[in-house]
Amino acid sequence: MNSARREVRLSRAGKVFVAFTLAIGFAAVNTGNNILFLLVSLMLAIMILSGMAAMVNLWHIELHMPAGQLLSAHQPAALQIELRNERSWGAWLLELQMGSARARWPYLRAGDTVRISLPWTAQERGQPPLPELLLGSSFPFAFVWRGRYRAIPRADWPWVAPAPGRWEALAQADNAEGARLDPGAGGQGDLLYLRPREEREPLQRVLWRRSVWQDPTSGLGPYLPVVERERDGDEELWILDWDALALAALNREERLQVLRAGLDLAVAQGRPWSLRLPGFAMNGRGSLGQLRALEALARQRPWPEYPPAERRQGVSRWSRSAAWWRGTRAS
Amino acid sequence: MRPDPQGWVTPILVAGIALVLFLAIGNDALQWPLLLWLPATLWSLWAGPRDRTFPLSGRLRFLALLSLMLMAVAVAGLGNWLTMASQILILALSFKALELRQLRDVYQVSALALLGLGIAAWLRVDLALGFYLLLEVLLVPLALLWQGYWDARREQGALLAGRSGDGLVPLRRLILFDLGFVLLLLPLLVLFFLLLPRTPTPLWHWGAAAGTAVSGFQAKLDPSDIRQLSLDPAVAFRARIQGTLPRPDELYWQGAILWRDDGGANWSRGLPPAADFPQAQRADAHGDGASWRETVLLSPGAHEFLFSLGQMQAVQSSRPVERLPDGTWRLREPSQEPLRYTALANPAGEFSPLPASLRAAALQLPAKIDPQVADLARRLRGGDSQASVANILHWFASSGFRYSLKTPAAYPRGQSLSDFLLRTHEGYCEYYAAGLALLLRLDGVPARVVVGYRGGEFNPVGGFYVVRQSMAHAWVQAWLPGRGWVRLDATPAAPGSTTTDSAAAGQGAVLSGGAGLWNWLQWQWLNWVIQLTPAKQRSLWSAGGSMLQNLGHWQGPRLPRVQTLWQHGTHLGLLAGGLMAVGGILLLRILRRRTGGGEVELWQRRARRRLQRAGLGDSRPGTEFAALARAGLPQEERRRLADLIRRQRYGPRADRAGDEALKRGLRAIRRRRGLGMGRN
Repeated sequence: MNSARREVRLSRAGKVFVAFTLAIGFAAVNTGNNILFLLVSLMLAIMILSGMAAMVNLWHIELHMPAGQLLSAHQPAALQIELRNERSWGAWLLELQMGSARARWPYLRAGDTVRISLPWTAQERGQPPLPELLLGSSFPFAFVWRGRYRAIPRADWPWVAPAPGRWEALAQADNAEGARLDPGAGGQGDLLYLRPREEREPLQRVLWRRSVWQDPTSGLGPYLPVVERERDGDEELWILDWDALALAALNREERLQVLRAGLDLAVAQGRPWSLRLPGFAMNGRGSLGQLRALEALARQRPWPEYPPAERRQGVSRWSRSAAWWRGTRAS
Repeated sequence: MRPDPQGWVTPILVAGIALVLFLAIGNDALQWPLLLWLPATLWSLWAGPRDRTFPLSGRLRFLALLSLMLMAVAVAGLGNWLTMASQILILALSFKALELRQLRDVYQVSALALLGLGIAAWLRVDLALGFYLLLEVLLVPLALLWQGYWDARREQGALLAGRSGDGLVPLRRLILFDLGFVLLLLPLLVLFFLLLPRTPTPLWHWGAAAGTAVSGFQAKLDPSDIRQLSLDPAVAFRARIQGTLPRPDELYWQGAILWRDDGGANWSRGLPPAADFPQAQRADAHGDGASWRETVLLSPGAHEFLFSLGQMQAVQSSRPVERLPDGTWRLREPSQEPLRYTALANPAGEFSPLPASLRAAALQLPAKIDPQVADLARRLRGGDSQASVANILHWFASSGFRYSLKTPAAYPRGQSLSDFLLRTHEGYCEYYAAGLALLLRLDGVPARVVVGYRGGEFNPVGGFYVVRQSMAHAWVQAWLPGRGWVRLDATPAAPGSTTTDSAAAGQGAVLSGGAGLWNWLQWQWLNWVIQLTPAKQRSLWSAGGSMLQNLGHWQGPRLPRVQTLWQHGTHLGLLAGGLMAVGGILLLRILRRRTGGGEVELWQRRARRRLQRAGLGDSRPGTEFAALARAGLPQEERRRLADLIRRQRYGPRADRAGDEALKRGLRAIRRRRGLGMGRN
């Protein structure tokens, strides 16, 4: 038996519908008029069937969070969530809620998958717990909103890189003019949309056929042809070192934030850089290798103490009833 | 801006809802606000696809609506509240048509539809109302479903920009859903309708359906009344007869008995005191020895007397009834509502001797009698009562009398009874009944006039008679020694007429296929919806309980009892249930076909579910192999299972045998886990 918590809310229209049903039922019982009894029976049947339709509408809707999402602390980001309809009929008016964020999808065809973005701002570095994710629907008549909490496996939670700190703490002379790579469109000969090659990136990963990457909106950005340049011998290398003396007085999180600020600056200026963390080291240039570096900063253990995840607390029966009638949440 | 064809859907649906409401309300909807509704609906059809808002602000629209509502109140006049409510409803629908933007607006239209159906329920109770209700049940949910989808889609407009190829596919799917929803809704509705408790004595009185009340029957003989009735094709009542069916020319539905001749062709009840009637004529509460069991369903109209073939012995009705000393039955309180009752009746009357007081009442004559009529009666007098009756009937048959509803040309202000008997020989049943009764009384034969209906259209679908107002009739009962009250009818057949006297000529009418079916549906509607009384409901519950008990004992249901209680509903219920089952299966097949649910896909889906349930990965392709690698199975077993997964989960030849093999393999894994052998 599925023990996932559920949430049911009566909308204003639903309350009016219930009130209408009660009023007509009252009139029917007191007049004995069978047409009124017919109307009341119709409304009661609609109540029951619409509830069942709402439950069926959420059956076998799978929810996944694509693994490896990388966010930055204190920066608003769009969390990607995949909805897959495993049934052989469509699903209507799906709604995802996470904290105060909300996203709706009107119709998901049978067997179809859709990726939905939910705005979320992570407050902590590492892999902070996600707020509870609620998948629901107001289908069919929006009298009732019905939803079920879904757990996301911890392995799929996004990694959160530290927020940039005060770079001045590790300020170094910026006197080298390194070659700038342009990761945008245009550039080399007739090859459009070149991108920098990532460190140790296997060439098999690159899609060389033009027909595949010609469409820039196809989402195949990471697989575009690559270009790699060697560092000039006299080019200055920024060393972003965990053990730098200038960082000795800072605590772990502050150090990571300063390193992040340095990385951002190097990327902005297109400089070569070298990130050295306990148990991890890598070199990069500009945005080349940036994602790996950010992930390394995010994964650096130990992680900060996380406050408990945003989770709805059990409420008293009275509060629950009151919230139900107000049309607000309570579970 | 290019019009979006999907923007038309809501205005069209709302216009459909309004039109069905107008049809349900009928004539009361034909009011001046329709002139506003029509352009408002046309505007909504134009503006919907273009996403335009009405130029007037919301406040101004509200003020305009309020002013027009006040105007409707003034035009309809206080007290004429049905007309007033209809006008206000149409005005509200007109203004809603101008602002169909969100789900909230469609909710309001739905509430107005509910209100409109309430108004229609005051105006009519016929089967057409049921059909309009069904249409609204189809249209209103569809409008709500579509607008909910449309709102969400507009909210996500940017996200959906690349999916505009959906076109009207969601609408088609919502229509399918709506049809399926209503298909499932109907049995649930029936269940609730039969289960909701009724009170035998309702607190408030709900008047009769004002719009459909027909002229009705009156317990007096007045040529002008019956002439109007004779032209009215409305159904007076429907009756099912159990017992030997009478011949078509024997179908006399007795209503009231008239004793007093007020002169001319006018007769009134003039019922003699109860003490004058012999004890033998009192009611037989059990109806022992009754020939017919008649189930009669009176249509809405003015009801006072109950009708039956022959003499009613006992009556069961949801309303209090009383038996009058002369054997007729009537409601204690006249009613306008449809009424269902069961009567046990006998074709023959009483044979006990006629007391002197009753004899005097049956020989009463008007104060003024035309001497020529008296001469005529004298000429027709026989040696005894039977001979006099024979002479008079023979005279009617041989003197060139003919049936006509028209006033004779020579008597533009109407003819008297003397004119009819002595000169024109042309009239309708009231003249014949009054003339025959007068001649009989003048010849010393006790006689009284009976008013009721004659004839009936037999409906083979359902096996009941349909009696119309046009079959209203009057005839005579004469007291013959040894035979009691004997029915006499001097009215001849009307040439080429479908009114009363076609039946008098013995032409039994039978309803044709379509009309018969419609009439049968009406009968069922009135029987099972409008006239579902608390008593009938209790009997249904008892029958249901008995059926369950009998099924529980494995001795088979007690058919006779169940048959009695469910006799009208069993076949209908079975038919409806069968149709719904077939419809449901067809719908599922269509859905399956439309969603491309093939055999291989079915097994693939099943394999995916099996793997997820066994904890081997999730719905993402490939995750099950990773999970399998961690399961710690022997290499051979793991390889075999991986092949099976490849075949069932991804292969083009997934089938039942593979599914069974996969099931066994996964069971083995579970067993291994249970034994703690998962990890080496």
